[in-house]
Amino acid sequence: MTTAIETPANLEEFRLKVRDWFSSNATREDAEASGESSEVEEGETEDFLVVARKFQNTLYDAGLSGLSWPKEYGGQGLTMNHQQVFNEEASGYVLPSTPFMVTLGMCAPTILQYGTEEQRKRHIGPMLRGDEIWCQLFSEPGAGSDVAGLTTKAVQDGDEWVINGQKVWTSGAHYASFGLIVTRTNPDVPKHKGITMFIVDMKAPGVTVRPLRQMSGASGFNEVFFDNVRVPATALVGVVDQGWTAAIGTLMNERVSIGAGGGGLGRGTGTVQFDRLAELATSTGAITDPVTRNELATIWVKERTLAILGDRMRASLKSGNAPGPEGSIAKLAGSELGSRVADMAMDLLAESGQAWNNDDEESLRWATNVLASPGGAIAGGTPEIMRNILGERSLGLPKEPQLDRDMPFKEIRTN
Amino acid sequence: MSVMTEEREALKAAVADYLDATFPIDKVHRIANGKEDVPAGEWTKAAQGLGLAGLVIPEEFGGQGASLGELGAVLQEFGRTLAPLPMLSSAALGTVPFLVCDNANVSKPYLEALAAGTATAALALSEAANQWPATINNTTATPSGDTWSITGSKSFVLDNGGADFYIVSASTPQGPGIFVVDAADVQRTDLNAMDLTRKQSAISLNNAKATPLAINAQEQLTKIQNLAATLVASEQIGGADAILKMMVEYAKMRVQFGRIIGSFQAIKHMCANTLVEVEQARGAAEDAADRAAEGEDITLSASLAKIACSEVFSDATLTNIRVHGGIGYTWEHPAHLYFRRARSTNALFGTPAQHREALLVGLGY
Repeated sequence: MTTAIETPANLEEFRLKVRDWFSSNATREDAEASGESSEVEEGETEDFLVVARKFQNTLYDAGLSGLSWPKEYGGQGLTMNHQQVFNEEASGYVLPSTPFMVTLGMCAPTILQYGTEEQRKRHIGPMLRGDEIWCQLFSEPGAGSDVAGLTTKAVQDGDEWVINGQKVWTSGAHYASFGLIVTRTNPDVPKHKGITMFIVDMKAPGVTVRPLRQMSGASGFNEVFFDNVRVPATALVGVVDQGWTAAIGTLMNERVSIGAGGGGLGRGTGTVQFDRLAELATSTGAITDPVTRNELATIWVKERTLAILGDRMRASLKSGNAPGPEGSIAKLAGSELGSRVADMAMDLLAESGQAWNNDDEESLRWATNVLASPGGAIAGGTPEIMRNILGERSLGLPKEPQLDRDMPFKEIRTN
Repeated sequence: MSVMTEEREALKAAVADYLDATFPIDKVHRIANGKEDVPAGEWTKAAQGLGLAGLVIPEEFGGQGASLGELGAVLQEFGRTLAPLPMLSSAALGTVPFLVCDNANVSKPYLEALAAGTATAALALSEAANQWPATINNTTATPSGDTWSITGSKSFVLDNGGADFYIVSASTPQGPGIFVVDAADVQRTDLNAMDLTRKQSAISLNNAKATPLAINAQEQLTKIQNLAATLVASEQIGGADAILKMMVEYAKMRVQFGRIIGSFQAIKHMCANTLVEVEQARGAAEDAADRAAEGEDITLSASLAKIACSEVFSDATLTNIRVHGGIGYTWEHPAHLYFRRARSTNALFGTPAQHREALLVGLGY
């Protein structure tokens, strides 16, 4: 998909163009108040969406969206090195592009690879421009870590398919215009062999989106109900009953996109968490307590090693290596650090971590933090699933024997 | 994940080939058991062939002039194989003080002999257990005419069974000093070392003739100790990496309950957790060595590396024994050689707890 001629000179020219664009269209990170993890609230408010859309529109109009994507679908037809230059120049700037992560990081690559020509022409341009936001409808109440155990059904009816079932943990479903859904189309074959992927219009009759409130009180994702939702045959992505291949493609893209940009590695190299805890320990007087000191130093060590891992990962990608297991490593280490930080803060705050006055923002912030930390470990794959991935893909250990692998789906024990 | 330069990768690979051929683990095991000796002249051979002895010694003294980053990479290979050559004790710990003190007139003959592999050095700073950084308690240097003489004692000296000269810290009227003392002028006693692959000694000095490398040298002593912690960490991460491979290899081969045991999540997750810790500690070790090579102040980085590598090495060697089950704690299996090395290096040049406290102080708390 890369057609452009790339020379050191035009790469350099491109770098200057990107640098210029960022300096006049984006806010520097250090200009923002630092330290606040906005993970909980990001992407929820209408305002945030307006800002994000406008940013993406401007980016597209400047010819800086979809850099390595084919021209015929609205991309720029440039090389991965152009993308790399872009990423380098983007570092240090606040990019309000969270609502597009699923759209561009997961859905668009799937449509490009498995979609029809008509689907590519229809959707990829608007996705790159920020006009279409997509969501990914994979997980179900009965199919979490084992997504292939999904039971949402799609039945063919003439030129249409009728979808019934429920999806869950769907980020952005409340503002997405389209969704990529995987459904059960054949229960008489093993579970991986009877799955089909469709594009579904989120405004279609029968689609109900209900925000899910997390234990922290925030609402980042949704449950989505499908009640006799009709999609045209042209909404089929890939081949009937072979949707698992496409779904794996989508999930791999998620891993690459998380690995390359997020997963606790995207932020700066400072020790923000340590600094906040050390400040708190100083204010409570616990800073002289040997147990507190030991734990504080441990948190500094873990925060620094994670930052170094991030630097090394970027350096490795930059020198042309394929993404390795660092995404899963970073996710595991990052969520463990998050819980440890929250726990330590609660220990330091003691009673005032569980009840506080209206003006006590410090306690409120830490309490919110500790309530968000279990979710941080589970979203995007539980620690146990991450360890399976590392054990099987990075270390080459064999899978658990699978009881359901060759059995017709309808005979498998489900929830 | 590799972020090393091609040149460094090539050096590391050449050292790996040499060590795998010369010191396979069963041979190391026999040497540790006293059933075999290190081949005579092997260190000189390694010095001349691969330039290992003088790796970081400037070319003008017959060395390779490589950076501390390269030294760290080579130490990883020595840690991986437990090869019983004085790479850490002499080519790293025994050499670095000369570079830090940067006193060419005095250092020249020593560095030339070290680079040629015809002599080895050892670093003797510690006098008592549980002191980091090492403090000079009762070792005193007195000037007498053109030379100095030292009286006192040092312990936990990594000297590979006996070095040709010792780098000794001692108090002087002008603050702490760093001296070189010939082996002939010290009384050396073998300690009973837990690590069977590396000998340690206690030395005592009784009016021993000493050549000063630096006087009023608190700054140099601090630098040397930070470098020592960093270099030990480099060796540790090589050992931890070898242990990760050992446990994974066994988990892929051993069958119980009709299954390869690595297919059990309990075992798989032990291996995955080790991978997570190894990858992070490797970053910390290489980052510290590279910062040292750039001449940065590595006080914090050295502690970070020593904590991360000590902990992962100890944890990994225990996990490895558990993955192996009964065979893992037999004398015949090499698992305990690494376990011993891990526990030994955990304590040398600052325990994790000591480094954690040093870190907080260094961060201003």
